[in-house]
Formats: sequence, structure tokens, C-alpha cells
Amino acid sequence: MAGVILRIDAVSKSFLKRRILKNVSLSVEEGEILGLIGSSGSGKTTLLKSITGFYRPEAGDVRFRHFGLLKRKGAEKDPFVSVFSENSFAKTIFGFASQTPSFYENLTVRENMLYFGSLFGLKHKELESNTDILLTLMGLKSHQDNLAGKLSGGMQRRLDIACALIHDPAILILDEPTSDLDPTLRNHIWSLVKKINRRGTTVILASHHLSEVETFCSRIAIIKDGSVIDVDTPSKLKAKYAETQEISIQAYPGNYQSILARLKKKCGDIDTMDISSEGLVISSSDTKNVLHEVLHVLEKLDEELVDINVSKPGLDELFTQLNREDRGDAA
Amino acid sequence: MRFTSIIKKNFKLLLRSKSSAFILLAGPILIILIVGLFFNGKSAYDLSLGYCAPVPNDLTRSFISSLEKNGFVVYDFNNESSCTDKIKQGVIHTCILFPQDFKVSNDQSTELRFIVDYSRVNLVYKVIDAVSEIIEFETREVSYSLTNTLISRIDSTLSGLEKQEELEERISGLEVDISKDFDSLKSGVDSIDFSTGSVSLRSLRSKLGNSQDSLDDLIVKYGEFSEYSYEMLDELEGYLDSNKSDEIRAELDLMSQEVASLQNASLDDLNASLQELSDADERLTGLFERLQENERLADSVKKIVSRTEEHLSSFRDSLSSLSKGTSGMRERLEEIDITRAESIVSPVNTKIEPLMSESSNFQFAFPFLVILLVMFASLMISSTLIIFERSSRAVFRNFMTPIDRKMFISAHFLTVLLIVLLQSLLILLISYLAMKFALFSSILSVVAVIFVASVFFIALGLMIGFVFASQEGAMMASLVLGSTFLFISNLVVPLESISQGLAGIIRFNPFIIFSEFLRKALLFNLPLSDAVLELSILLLIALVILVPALLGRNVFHDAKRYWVKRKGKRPENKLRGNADKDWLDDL
Ligand SMILES: Nc1ncnc2c1ncn2[C@@H]1O[C@H](COP(=O)(O)OP(=O)(O)OP(=O)(O)O)[C@@H](O)[C@H]1O
Ligand SMILES: [Mg+2]
Repeated sequence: MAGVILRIDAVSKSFLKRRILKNVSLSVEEGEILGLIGSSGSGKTTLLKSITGFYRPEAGDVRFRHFGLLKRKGAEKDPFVSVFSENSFAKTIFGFASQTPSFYENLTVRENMLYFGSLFGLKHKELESNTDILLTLMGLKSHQDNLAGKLSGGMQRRLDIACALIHDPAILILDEPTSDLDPTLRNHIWSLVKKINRRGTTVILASHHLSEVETFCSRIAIIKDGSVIDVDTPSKLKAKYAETQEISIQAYPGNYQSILARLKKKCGDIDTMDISSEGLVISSSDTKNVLHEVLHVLEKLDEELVDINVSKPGLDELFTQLNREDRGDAA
Repeated sequence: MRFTSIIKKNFKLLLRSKSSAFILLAGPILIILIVGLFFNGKSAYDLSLGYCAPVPNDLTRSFISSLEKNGFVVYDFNNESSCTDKIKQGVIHTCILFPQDFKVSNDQSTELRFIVDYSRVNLVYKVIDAVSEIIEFETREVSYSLTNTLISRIDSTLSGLEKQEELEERISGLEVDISKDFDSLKSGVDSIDFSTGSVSLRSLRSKLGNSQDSLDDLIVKYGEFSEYSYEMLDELEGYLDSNKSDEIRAELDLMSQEVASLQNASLDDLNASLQELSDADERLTGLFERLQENERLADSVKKIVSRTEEHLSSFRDSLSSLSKGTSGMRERLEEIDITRAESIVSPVNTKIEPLMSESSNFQFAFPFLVILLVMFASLMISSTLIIFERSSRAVFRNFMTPIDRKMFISAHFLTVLLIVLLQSLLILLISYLAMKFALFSSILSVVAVIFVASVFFIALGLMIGFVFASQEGAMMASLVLGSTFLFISNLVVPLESISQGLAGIIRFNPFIIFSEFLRKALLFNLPLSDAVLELSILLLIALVILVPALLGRNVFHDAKRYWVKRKGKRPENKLRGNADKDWLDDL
């Protein structure tokens, strides 16, 4: 980690009087992969677009490190400049692959890349070599002369990322890069992101797929209703939010009601107890004691233990917990 | 680099989309096709007309035959109603009704009636034009012959007058001769000195006796006298009785003989002679007396002569006033310079010649067709391109590049301008090669007009692209706008049949303005300097339309935002379906 590359200071954004982003502050470290998680409609896309200057927030500022590349009087005094005041320079810093791929469907893969590259003012040689490198990296070389609109969804996604990377941006922004893709393609995209990140590109991404974010991101920001409620490494987040463990039991004949009643009487430190279709689900911070009691109760009631499972919850569970009211929407 | 790559991309997009490629390629081809049809269809359409002549005569027949000669298909009808029926059915285009008694006379003006179907406005003017031209020609023929008679009458009168003048001259010449005769007669009569008769013969006789010399003298004197007497006699001839003069002459002759004989006679004889002389003296005295009688006669002659003279001079006066009158009349007649019947009937002879050898229809239509192409191509391609960009998935990525909106719009603008100019160039080239248009003599004006027209209509098209959300909407709007320009023009509906107010507006129809300029440039080599002002104004209007687009804001979006704020609704997603495309608003 070589310091902060992007600073988001108290950004607020409303659409038609509805506040979507509420005072969001966040720092992005150079070279990290920052994941944004949050339920649908929580404002992830809005945040990403505000970062790049696509939306202009009514309050707050987004400042990025210009690495001395900005040739302007007084620029050397402050290493950070505002995305909004240096809009066109900021655009060369960011590469953005949005939720829906953005390119010309009537141009071929290669034409798209060359076109967008040329808009960034790349010289012919650099443009050609960047295009070739990215085509190979994204595995699109064999499709380079196909019309972009005729590509499969996965290929379109890869082309979109390739277009976002054509000018070799310092920060790559991916808005749900793996949505509606099959698991193999998802893994492929993630490995690509890793590769890109290893080459020194900072990545900010938003996703619903929490397990993936958990494994690939160096830090995660949790967004709820337009506010960042926490930012940390995945393991720390888990430790913070996942103190309880879950015990699920399957028994025969399975008179869970009476088991439940007995357990309630016997032990005090059970957080929740539910009867699901698979059996009994108990969460508790004192797993050892609860397990003992459970086995005892089963013996008493003449129930035969069929299956027992003890687990620590992942971020998925954490996520559902956080957004209980949005349970239906969560992926 | 950036700019050209946007233009290159635009070309690819336009060519790869079926609908826009159609406009791009089919537009010029269609226009060329229409032009070709115009070019070939010179005689495809014949005008036919009917006529109804109750009593056909030579005059009607000559009208009809000249109509036929001029390429009309002419039908004969027995009565008016059957003729008008055929107009209603569309078989014939007009009906000419000859009057019962179609002839040219003094007491009535002959009237030809035309029945036309005004619902077929375009045709009517054509028919009336063509027919009336021929009828006019025929009428001219008639009045020509009438005038001719008139003029020949005047001519014969003039020559009669000339003859009369000749006569007058001859009379006046005669009169001068007569008056000269009178003058000499008068002076003759005046100069007769009757007093010579008082020569004293008696003293002469006494002297005679003195010498031979005096005899000789006498003889000479006598010779003089007799000569004089002869002269006088000669002069008096005509006034005296021929008997009398002869008598005198004979006596004079006798006397001369006697005098001559005297010369040779001796002095002796002289006395005898003297005796004889005194006889002669007596006789002479008698003669003298008779002569004095004659003097009185001469006086009366003189009186008669002077009276005659008076008559003569009054005759001369009236003769001169008469000749003055005729010469004035002749002068006035001669003052009429134009004496040819053709020049009186049609003082200004107009011969309508086509400017070039091709069909005038085509000449008229070609500039309109070129501007038509420029108009529709500009409107449709520019609006399509904007819609392409706006509805494209690439909007977001375009926004994420450091290219500002001005450059995008300029590149779009230039793309369409290039296409339209290329299309126009193609058409002009084909027209030049196929129809030998004098293109290069006015190439500057032609290019200027096409350029300004393109800029103008592209600006409008871009505006349409921004106002309408969907490609269908933009297409419809371009078509409606283009058609409106087209329909309120002279090309479809003749200006004559349009109400005054509307006709005033039509003058400001840019389509008309550009077409007129192009027509003048193509056909009449209009110099560029003549059109500079108007073209600059139109260019300025185009730029004014372009400004909001270039500045990244346009009035319509501002208006929409205002509306949204007031109503508190969110039409964006409803209109566009994709919030990403709002960058057009959010700039
Ligand atoms: N351009 C816009 N105009 C008005 N409202 C908007 C606009 N963009 C987003 N919103 C609203 O802001 C809220 C947040 O949207 P956003 O796209 O940021 O959510 P998200 O977290 O990305 O959701 P998802 O995971 O489904 O992509 C939504 O309620 C949406 O309706
Ligand atoms: Mg989103």
C-alpha cells in the first residue's frame, strides 16, 4: 500500500429531492481492490458515478492524487485535485465499466477499442499495442473482428472492461462486473481483475456477490441507504459482525416444537431459535454449552439425531442480517 | 486524431445501420432516378382539349389546325355539355367554345370561352398558357390581315396625293409661263412709240430737194422707219386683223421698193419722186391715222391683259394654298413611321427561346431536386446520428472520455456535412456529365449555396435529434419538417393559388430561398457577390440554432427540467429508459 489515491469527502447526492447518498466519506488506497457491498438501490452505482464526476454531488468533494501528471500552476503544491474542477484530467485517471456494458454494438471489438483509445489521445503505436495486450488478456483476440453487439454476454462484459482499460487508467471502477454471468465466467473475470490489480491498477468495485467480494477484495465498504456504515478488511468485518454461531439439527421423528420448549427452559444464552424446513436452527455465542444441552434434550425426548452442523456465518449472512428489511431483494 | 476518429466512427455507424445506410445511399440514387425520369419524360404527357364550334368556318378551322400543329390532341364536340362532361371525366383538359358566328367584324368583339377544371390547379395553368399562346397567335394573324388592309388604303391615298401634287406643280409652272408671256406682251405694247409717227415728212421733203445726201439720208431714215414698222407689225401680230397687217406690210413693201428705186434715180426724177413722196406722205398720214387707231386698240388690249393678270394672280394664290394643304396632309401621312402591318399588330415581337437545348421542365426542377436532397439528407442524417449517439450504449463511455460535448457535436456536424456535400457533388457531377450543365462557370456560387443549405438543415436536424428521444420520433419530425418546407413551395402548389398571407410566409421558406439561389447560379451564372447577403443571413440563423447544441445546454432540456421541478415527476426514465443517458442533462 502506497498511500491514499482517492479521497471521498462527505459526498451527498439527491435525485429529485430524494437523498441517495448521505454524507459519504471514504479513502481509497493505491493498489487495493475496494469492494462496495450494499443491497439494490442502496446507492452503489450512484456513488461510483459521483466519484468519476459523471454525477455532480450537491455537497462534498472527491479528490484524487495526480502524481504530478497534471501540468497546471499550483498543482505541485497540493498532490490532490478535485474530480469536478479537473474533470477532463480526472477522466484519464479513471476507467469505468458500468453495470450495463457501454460500447458501440455496430463496431467490431477492435474498432471499439481503437475508437475509445483514440478519444484519450493515445498515439497510434501505443493504441495498437494496448489494444493487442488487452485483447489477449481478455481472451477476445479471436473475436476482435466480430461486431460487439453480436458477442455473448460474458464477452461483452470483458470487452467493456477492456474498453475501460484501454488508456491504462490508475483507477479501474467496476460496477457489478459479474452480475448475470455463469460461475466459470465469474471466476474468469475475477482472475482478470486480480491480474489487472497486480499490474498496479487500483480497483473499486460494487457487487452483490458477497462471497466473491470476500475472497478477492482487500477492503470492503458496506453501504446501507446511501451511507457507508463500515469499511474494513473482510476478516475484520467478519470478526466484528459474526460473534454468534449457528447450530442446525435434524432429528427423527422430529418433534421440534417440544425440543424447542425444553431447550428454552434449560439454557439462557440462546440468541435465536427457529424451526426451518430442514430442522432446528439455533444461534448462540456459547456454542459448547448449547450443544451439550441439545444432546441431553434429544436423549430425554427419545429423538434420534440425524444431522448436526455448527457454522460461523459468512458475509452473506451478515449482509442479510444488515438488510433484513430488504431480504426479498437481496441476491 | 480524436476528431477524425469520431468522424470515422460516425461513418461506420451510419453505414452499418440499415435505415441510415438507406438514406445515405438511396437518397442520391432516388434523386438521380427522379431526375432521369424528368429528363426522359419530355413528351410523355400530351395535353388534350376539346372544342365546340356550332358553325365551323375558315377562322375556326385555322384555330383548330394551329392547335393541332402545336401538339395538342384536339377533339370535336357538338355541344358544350358533352365537352364539359369529358373534362369532368378527365379525358380532356380544357374546352374551347367558339361563338355561334365566329368572325371578325366592326360591330361586335368576338369572344372565345375556355372551360377548365380548376381542381387540377397545376395543369390548368399549363393548359391555359399553352392554348392562349396559340390563340393569341391566331388572333394576331386575324388582326394582322385587318391592319394590312388599313395600311394598303393609306398607301394608295398617299400615292394619289403625290400624283395631285405633280399636277399642281405642272399648273403652277404653266402659270409662270403665262405670266411671263403677259409681261413681255405688256412691255412690248408699252414700248411701241407711236410718237415716231410725227416725224416731219414735210421738212424732210424740203430738205430732200437740197441734196442727194439728204436723199440718201432720207433713204436710210426710211429704211429705219420701215424696219421699225415691220417690227411693230410683227409685234402687233395677233392683235391686228391679219388682213390689215398684211395690207400694211404690202404697202410698206411697196414703199421700200419705191425708196430703193429712189436711190438710183436722178435728181430729175427726184421731183417726181417727191411728188410721189408727198403721195406717200399722204398715204402715210392715212396710215398713221390708222396706226393711232391701233394705239387705242393696244390700250384696250393692255387693259384686258392686266385684268387677266389679276385673275391669274388670284388663281395662283388659291393654287398655292391648295398645294400647301396637300403637302401638309402628305407630311402628316408620311410622319407615320411604321407602315408594316406585322409591326403594328405586334409591335414587340416576342420569341420564347429555351435557354439551353434541354427540356425546360428539367431545368426548372433540377435545382429544386438538389436542394431537396440536401434538405432531406441533412435533416434525416443529422437527427439520426444524434439519436444513434443518444440511444447508444456507448453514451456512458463517450462521456467518460476527456472529449467535451462541443467536439462531439462538431464532429457529428462535420460528418453529416461531408456526407451531404459528397452526395451533392455526386449529383452535380452526374448532371454535368450526362446533361452538360454549365457547372463550372458558376461553381463558386453553386458550392456556396449548397454549403449554406447543408449547414442550415443540418443545424435543424441536430436540433430535432436533441428534442426527440427515439429514432422513430426524430425520423417523423425530420420528414414532417422537410415535407412542410416542400409543400409550401412553388414546386408542389403554384404560388398563384395560395392565399396572400401564406404566400408571404412562403417567401421565407428556406427551401425556396436555397432552390432559387441554386437555380440562378446554375442557369444564369449568378455571381456569388449577389447572394452573399442572403446566404450570410441564413448561415447566421443556422449558427444560432447550433449554439445551444454546442454549448451543451439546450432550451428544450432546460424547459423539461423546469417542468420536472414543478411537477415533481421523473420523466427521465420513462422517456429514455436508462438513467445513464442523462448526461446530456447533467452536464
Ligand atoms: N439518474 C437517476 N435519476 C433519478 N434517480 C436515480 C438515478 N439513478 C439512480 N437513482 C435512484 O437512486 C437510488 C440508488 O440507485 P443506484 O443505482 O445507486 O443503486 P445500486 O446500489 O447501484 O443498486 P443495484 O445494486 O440494483 O445496481 C435508486 O433508488 C434509484 O432509483
Ligand atoms: Mg448499481
